[in-house]
Amino acid sequence: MKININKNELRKASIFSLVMVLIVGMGYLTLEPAITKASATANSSVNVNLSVDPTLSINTPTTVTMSPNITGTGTSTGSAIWTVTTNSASGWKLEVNASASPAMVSGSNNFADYTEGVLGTPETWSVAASAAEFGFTASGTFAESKYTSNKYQSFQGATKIQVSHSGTGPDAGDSTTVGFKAEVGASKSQPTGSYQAVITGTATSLP
Amino acid sequence: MLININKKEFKKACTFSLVILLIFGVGYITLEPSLTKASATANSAVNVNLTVDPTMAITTPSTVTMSPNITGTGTSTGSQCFDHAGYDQRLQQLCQLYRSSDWYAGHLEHCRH
Repeated sequence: MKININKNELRKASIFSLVMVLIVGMGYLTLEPAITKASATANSSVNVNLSVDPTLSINTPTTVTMSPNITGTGTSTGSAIWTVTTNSASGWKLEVNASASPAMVSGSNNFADYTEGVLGTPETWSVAASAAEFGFTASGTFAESKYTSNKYQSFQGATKIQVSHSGTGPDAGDSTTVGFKAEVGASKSQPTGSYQAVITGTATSLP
Repeated sequence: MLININKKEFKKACTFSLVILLIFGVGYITLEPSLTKASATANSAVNVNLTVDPTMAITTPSTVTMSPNITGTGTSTGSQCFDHAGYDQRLQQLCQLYRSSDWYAGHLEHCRH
């Protein structure tokens, strides 16, 4: 028996068959594991914790040369700027202290630390005619309000005195200006010399 | 079953417990922030320099009238202090030098400095 096969029909049938084989084949490859194998599933979660601890840095101000020189009697002023940078979300505080007591010395001579009426409470600058004194104030956005309007107070040796703080953060660079002032009273005979105070600023991130 | 409790001992035990509890409580409240949270600190120092320059004032002495008047021939003497006020180490040292000299001693002995 002879079978007549139309070439076009054969080609169509072949292409159709090939496409069908491809579709079924790919479907099988994709679904095979789920179809042919039983599976069980369970899950659990894990907490991944990470602590970002605070970091903090502070600049080193350049040497302060108080001006003008005191010739006999009079006042002299200067200032230093400390800038605090921290990632602390709770902010920072800045404290200052002197390396000596009194702070401003030249050999055995010195300027007395400023004598505010109430120790630790800044006040408007005032020095007796018979005295020679050295004190400081603080200014800037973050300075403590007690220093507002150029209120001065004394250094207390190594005791740290808070001059400014920020309650928020991170801070990309918050600056505080610490102003220094010295005066030789009208009737005070202050020995000549080069006097120096070493003042340390300490910044700490707040918990 | 009966348990005998000494009242004094009981009071002591209660007081002791309360004190211990207070100590731990206060300690915890004080230290908690620093125990549970890390903090960072940094510091830097700055030199603050001040110069006190020398100053000096000196009096203008009153007129010196030498005496006695010289009548024809003879000698006449007079003296005056140059009195300084303020503070000047160099002048002080100079005065001290003069005082140690016999030649100047007589001339400066009545000076206040």
